[in-house]
Amino acid sequence: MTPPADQSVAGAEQQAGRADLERVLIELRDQVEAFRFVLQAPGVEAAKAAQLEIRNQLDDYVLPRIRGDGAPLLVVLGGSTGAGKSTLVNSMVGARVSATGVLRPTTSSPILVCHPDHTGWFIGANILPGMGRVEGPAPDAIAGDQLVIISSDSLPAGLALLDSPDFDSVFEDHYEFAAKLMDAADLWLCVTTAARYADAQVWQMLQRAREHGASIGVVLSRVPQGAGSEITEHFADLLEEHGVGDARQFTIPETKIEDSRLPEEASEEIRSWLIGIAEDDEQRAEVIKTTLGGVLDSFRTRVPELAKQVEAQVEARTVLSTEVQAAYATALAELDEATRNGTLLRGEVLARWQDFAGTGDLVRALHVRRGRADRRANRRRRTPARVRSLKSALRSGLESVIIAAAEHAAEDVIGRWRANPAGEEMLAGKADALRHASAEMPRRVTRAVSAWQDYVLELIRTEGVTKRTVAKLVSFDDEALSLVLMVGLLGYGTSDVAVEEGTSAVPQRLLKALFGAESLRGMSAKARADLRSRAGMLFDEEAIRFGQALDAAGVPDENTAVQLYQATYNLEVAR
Amino acid sequence: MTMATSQVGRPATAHGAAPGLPSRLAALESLVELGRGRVDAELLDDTGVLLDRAGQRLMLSGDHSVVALAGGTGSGKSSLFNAVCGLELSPVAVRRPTTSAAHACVWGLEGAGPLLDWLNVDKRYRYARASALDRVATGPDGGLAGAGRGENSLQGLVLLDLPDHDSIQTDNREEADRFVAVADLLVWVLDPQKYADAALHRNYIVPYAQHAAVTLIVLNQVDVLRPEEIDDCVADLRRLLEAEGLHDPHIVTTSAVTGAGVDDFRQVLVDTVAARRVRSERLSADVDKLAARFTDYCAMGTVPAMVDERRAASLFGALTEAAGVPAVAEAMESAYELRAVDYMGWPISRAVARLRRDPLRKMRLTALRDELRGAFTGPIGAQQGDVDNALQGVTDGVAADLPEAWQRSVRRAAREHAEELPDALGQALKDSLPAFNQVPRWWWLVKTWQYFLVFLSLLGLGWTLLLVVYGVFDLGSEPTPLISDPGLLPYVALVVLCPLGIGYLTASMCRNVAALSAAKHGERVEQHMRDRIVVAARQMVLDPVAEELSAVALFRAEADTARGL
Repeated sequence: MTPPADQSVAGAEQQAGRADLERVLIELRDQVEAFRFVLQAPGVEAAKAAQLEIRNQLDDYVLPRIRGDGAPLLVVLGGSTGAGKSTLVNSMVGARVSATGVLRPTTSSPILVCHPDHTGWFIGANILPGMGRVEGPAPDAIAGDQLVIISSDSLPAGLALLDSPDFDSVFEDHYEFAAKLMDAADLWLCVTTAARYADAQVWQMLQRAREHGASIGVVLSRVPQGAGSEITEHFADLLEEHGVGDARQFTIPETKIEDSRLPEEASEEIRSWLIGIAEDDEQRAEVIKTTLGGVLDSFRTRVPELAKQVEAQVEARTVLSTEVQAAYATALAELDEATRNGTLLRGEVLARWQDFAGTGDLVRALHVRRGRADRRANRRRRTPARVRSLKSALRSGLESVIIAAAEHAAEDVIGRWRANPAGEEMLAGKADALRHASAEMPRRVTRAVSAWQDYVLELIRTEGVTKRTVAKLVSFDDEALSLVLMVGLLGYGTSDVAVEEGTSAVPQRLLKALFGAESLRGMSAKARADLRSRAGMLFDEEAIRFGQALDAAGVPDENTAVQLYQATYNLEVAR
Repeated sequence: MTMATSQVGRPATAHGAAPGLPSRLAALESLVELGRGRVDAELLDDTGVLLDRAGQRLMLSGDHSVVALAGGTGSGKSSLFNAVCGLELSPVAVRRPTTSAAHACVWGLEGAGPLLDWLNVDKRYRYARASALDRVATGPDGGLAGAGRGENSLQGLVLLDLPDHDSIQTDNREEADRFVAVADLLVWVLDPQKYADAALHRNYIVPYAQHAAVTLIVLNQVDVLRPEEIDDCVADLRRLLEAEGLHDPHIVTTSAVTGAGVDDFRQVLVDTVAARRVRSERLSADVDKLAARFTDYCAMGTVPAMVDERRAASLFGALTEAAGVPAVAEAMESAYELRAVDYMGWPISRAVARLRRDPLRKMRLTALRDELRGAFTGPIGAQQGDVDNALQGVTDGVAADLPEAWQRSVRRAAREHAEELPDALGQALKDSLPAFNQVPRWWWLVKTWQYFLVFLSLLGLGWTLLLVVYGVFDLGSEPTPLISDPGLLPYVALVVLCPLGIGYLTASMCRNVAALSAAKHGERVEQHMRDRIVVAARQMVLDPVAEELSAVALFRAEADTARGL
């Protein structure tokens, strides 16, 4: 009744809508494909599988379905090994197209049977584009992921049957195929047997089919004579219990198998139901639409779930990098402690200090002021050996404290990461390189410590304003005093502490007498802050190595999750 | 008599080459002890569980063999159970899953009670030959004699009918797992439809592949196959099992419906029970499987006994540096020289030096000078950082070939005392110092000599004064020409100047001698310090490492025993 003009307008609109939907779906596919799960986190294996499934389902089924209007109804027979899937296909086609037998599992390559008119469409790799095609009859040896396509007149034009491998035998690739084919089905026919219907695997697959939005039919085969009603009823109860009660149910009794086929009456019910759907355009379109709708609906939960896992990845990454930061913060605190509690004034540094202070070289660094000429002469004097020894002892002492702290931190990070499954995986093959401080570390530390010593010397020169009362009487050697300041700073803790009697306070008392408490405090604070910032920079550079290890792994970032949410939303809008 | 003994003894002696079950269990026990904190805790926990289980099972009846019928739902475990028992004890049905609690049937009740309690079989599902089966034996059945003989030869059998492991009833799987873990003989009941199920192969056959000796495969329901198909099916099953590592599987085909093969199965059970070996074989297989997990900890050549000489030497070197031995020695030399100058310096030049202007005095810090002098308090410890860095590479050489876990534990052993090491090194150094603080006797002599010279020149000075007063200026009376004859002046001046000159020369000579002996002393003390550091390093670093290494070697030896090597 509708005028043809309206129809064409509606058709154009539909066309545009479909193009839009296709674009959105391609976007979704690209986004799902664009990242990898690299960090070990709870549920990541499932997420990886889900990622692959979503992508495959988009490629294998959704996109071809949207593009190929009017293609036949694809019925996939999935089920347990030994349930008689191949036998059922043979019976419905009326010819031995798929091998049957007592050895389990029997069928290893999926076999697709369709009307000759559609062979071209299926061979054209529209649906399941990732799989190879072989035109039937099935050769003896087929490489794993080949789809055998057999044309048969006995099927109506609108129907294609796909005999899929089992999902519960020892061959894992069979399961993968079965799952992949299930996702590509317009109608998934689950075939199980009276002996198996309570197997956990059957129900897991039904659950999966339901979650992925498939239209489901259920066949219970090999039902022993006489036990029919008890089993069927129990099975129906179980179906109801698992939320697939509305699926169409069929029963096939255990019968004689002849020529790989069931007696006609056993499979007649299923055959006529399928043909009925296939031949009625409206009904067929309805089934296809329902399944497509179901699949698209399933993306509403499946994609956000994926996005959640991406967020978990981001979270795991944050945890790992926090561990690194914490470890190096500890290292910095360790260094602070070591330069405050006097542990640095041990061993060689102490010996050199004692040598320097005790032999009078320290006192010789102070000169009674006579005149300008005298002062200039002092400047030109060569640095005594003891000063140089003390300086290099201080430098190497400080260096080794910093390096030791860096080593501890690196090991600490390794330990912390090892305790975390995600980190454990990150470290694979890298642990040896990361366990120790980096190779450039010693050189950098040497440079940093020398720079700090120069800075302290500069402080003494520029800020060491001698107390006026003292300045009139005494001049001093900058370099020697800078060492005294360092010893005081590193060896005896802060110079703020109350001056105590005893040798421990010697540097402070001397410096205080020279510079006054105020000026000394300022210099000490500056010198300490400078050291801290230099060490902090060194540790940052060390920590970067771990950051690089994380970056190299290619952990998805927050944007990926956001994009996934956005793609889900876009899909809803486009529908 | 002797013949009999030797025959009985033979299996034991034949076994003598490989360690028996008790010694392997003992080895596992010591592995647990040695492994604490060194080996993966989960592995040790598993070992502990196995040891507990083995101990309990070995304490319980050895006359009984626990045989478990396990398999998927619908494979006919219960039918087979009933066929062997000769009674409908376990319910059989088409509704899946049927059995949800284990049933047990015991032949020969004596001693079986505690075993069944340990197996935790529900009392409602325990059957015994003494109750239900006796009635069969005494019943008016035509096959009384045959049945009776059968029962007798099954004496000592505990047959368990387990729930399935693959149905939607997850409780069933837990229940089945519990028994699979403890049964002496595992009988997997399969059927032509389900024999290739992933649920069975992945979860049971592969993990229990090493239990081939105590595993029996029963292909039930062969009545659904044609005779020629049975052979194909068995061959396929055998290929599958062997591919999964179950070597030479024992496969029996039965049909609980037609009764075919049930007698064969029963005969296998009779043999098993008669041999009374499955209990220890099962435990041996468990030990095999568990001990194999220790293999990773044994993948190494000979364990070195010690850190090699070169690395030890470099450790000593690094620790010597860390303790600042050369610097300490130098500082000590300086102190020695200073002290020598205190004793043997020319008193007059010191007095002159004191007159010079002193910046410290100007700063009113004169006290500081003495403190600075007292700065030679001796060495205190070593740099923690240096020590840590020194310990860093010590174990690299010895541990490089060891598995990761041992590398870690050896490294830990080397660092065990890292915190105490600086103080210990300091102490080691301090012990060598007293030699330095001694004052040699000749210093006193020189000191006395110096003061004598000073006294002499003072005397001469006084004399000169007197000569000047009395001789030159001719003041007062002349008591004696000794102090009044000006002609003596040049000689007296000599008396004044000579001691001065001699004193100065003595001082400079002594300074040189002191410097020489300081250097010599320094060398000696440095050597002493080095020796002490070597001792400390051995004690606190190398010995713990050696101990750890010997623990590793012992662990390996025990692991080898546990693995039955």
